[in-house]
Amino acid sequence: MNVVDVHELTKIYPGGVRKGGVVALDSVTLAVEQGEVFGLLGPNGAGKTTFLKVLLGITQITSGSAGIAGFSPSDPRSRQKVGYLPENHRFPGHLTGLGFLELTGRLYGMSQAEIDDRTDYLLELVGMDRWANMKIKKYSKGMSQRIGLAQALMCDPEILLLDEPTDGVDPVGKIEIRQVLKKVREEGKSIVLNSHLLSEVEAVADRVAILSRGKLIRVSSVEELTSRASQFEVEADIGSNVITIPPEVGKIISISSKGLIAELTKEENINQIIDQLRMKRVSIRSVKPMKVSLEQSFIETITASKEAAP
Amino acid sequence: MRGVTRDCVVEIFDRKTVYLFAAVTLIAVVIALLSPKMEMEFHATGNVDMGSMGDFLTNPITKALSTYLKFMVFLAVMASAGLVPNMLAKGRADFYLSKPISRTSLLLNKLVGIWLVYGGTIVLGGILTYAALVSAHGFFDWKILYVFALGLVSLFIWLSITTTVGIASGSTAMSIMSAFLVWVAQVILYWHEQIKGFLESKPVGYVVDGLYYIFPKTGEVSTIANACAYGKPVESWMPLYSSLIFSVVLVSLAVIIFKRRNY
Repeated sequence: MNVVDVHELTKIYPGGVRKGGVVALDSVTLAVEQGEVFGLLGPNGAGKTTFLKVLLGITQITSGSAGIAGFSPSDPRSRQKVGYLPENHRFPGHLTGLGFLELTGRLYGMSQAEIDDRTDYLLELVGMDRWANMKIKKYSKGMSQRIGLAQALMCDPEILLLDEPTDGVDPVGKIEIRQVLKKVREEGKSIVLNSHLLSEVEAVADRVAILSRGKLIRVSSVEELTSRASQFEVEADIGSNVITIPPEVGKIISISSKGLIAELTKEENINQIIDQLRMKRVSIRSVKPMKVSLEQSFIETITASKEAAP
Repeated sequence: MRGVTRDCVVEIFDRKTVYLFAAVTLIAVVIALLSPKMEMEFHATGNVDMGSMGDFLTNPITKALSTYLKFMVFLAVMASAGLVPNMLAKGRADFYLSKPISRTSLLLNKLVGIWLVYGGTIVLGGILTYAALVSAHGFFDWKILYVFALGLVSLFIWLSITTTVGIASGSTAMSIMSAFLVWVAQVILYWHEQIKGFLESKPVGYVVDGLYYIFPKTGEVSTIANACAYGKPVESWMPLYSSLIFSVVLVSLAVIIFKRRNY
């Protein structure tokens, strides 16, 4: 079941670019499944934040359609079980952390008993129980981010939309937030995560979408994006042995006494390399497909899309 | 929508403007308690225009309270002008708009919250001032409630202006300036008959008349309140009705703008 469903979604902000408007989203079609952690990647101005705002009805749709939790974003019921942590937020500074969570609970229509239970749990979860009675205007950036995450979780959401959740958070805090996200995922909830920190997305996301200049360039699993099916790394005691492969099988990218990296025309051609090594009585320690980081894959995808653009 | 209203109350108290209202009320109470002595001073010196003095003495309590309420409404409009733009500022609007409440409900609850808090403060201050006046002069009349009620109506009219401009422009300064401009316009338009006579142009006369009927008339609403409190017949209720229609139209416009806006 899809918890987020957008079809041919276009958002043009009026004004700018010689009055033709600024295209923030251009015919984007994608879906997020229940229980999935979905990463939204893209350079600045790609339309990631606009995408989340459209889902929440904060920004109006120009054309196409969007649905969240089975409702149109213009229907307030669509937000009943949706938590949102905005980027560059400025939460009401006149409230304490506790007061802020209570306000959030009331805006969700929760009873006072539910609010009390939930605030105690969440303040401890995000490590803000000690500062619960301090006013938000006195919070550091990291503290604001933690209380922001708590408010996003206040309604026990089925869908969690997070825009740069670890922005301004120290390394320990980042790990803690990641653990919170994993806990939320284990509960079967869906998360849509916008982040510039690709290592963070790589660590928690199941699938990612790459946006550039409002266009959806690619949607795939993190596994797919980071693996290089045609490249293999072989760890073996090659020593001074000479290993060669015909061009129709592939080519050796690098070789040393301790192993080699080969790019093959077909995945199963790895067997030919293994056969050759065994014939030469070379001891093989491991054979594994090459992986690249999500960051590397992201850069390659963005570069390719720019080159392909007219 | 207790959430929005309660948030509004906390925000207003955090801004500490309520202390200013308390200070003004304290001064008003002190003046009220000293007012019999001031009256005697006027009589002793005889340096006061006897026409206006007579008017003043017709019902000094009503006039004093009415003046106090007008000043408090003015302060409330200035103090509250930033509340709506602040709620919709970049980074703040996202929080409110991502919750399961409609924009119409959010805006109206904010407006009602502001009106209730400042209206309540004004009424409380008014009651204290009136109590001081009553204790000083030994005069009490239930009809004074008209002054309170129409004072609250005036506050709503002004809030509808600052709220609509706040939604449209997102600027506190614009909200305050627009309230001031409407006040200037209504003062000028009060003399619409004289202006028409001076201009001697029928089309311009129609425009001036039209503007007079469109714009709010809080000064004349205050006159209606005083007449009710004096127990005198009201010449025309039109200023009250037309001002209320103006406010309702403005609030509707604010809702329409708010619903269409991107944040």
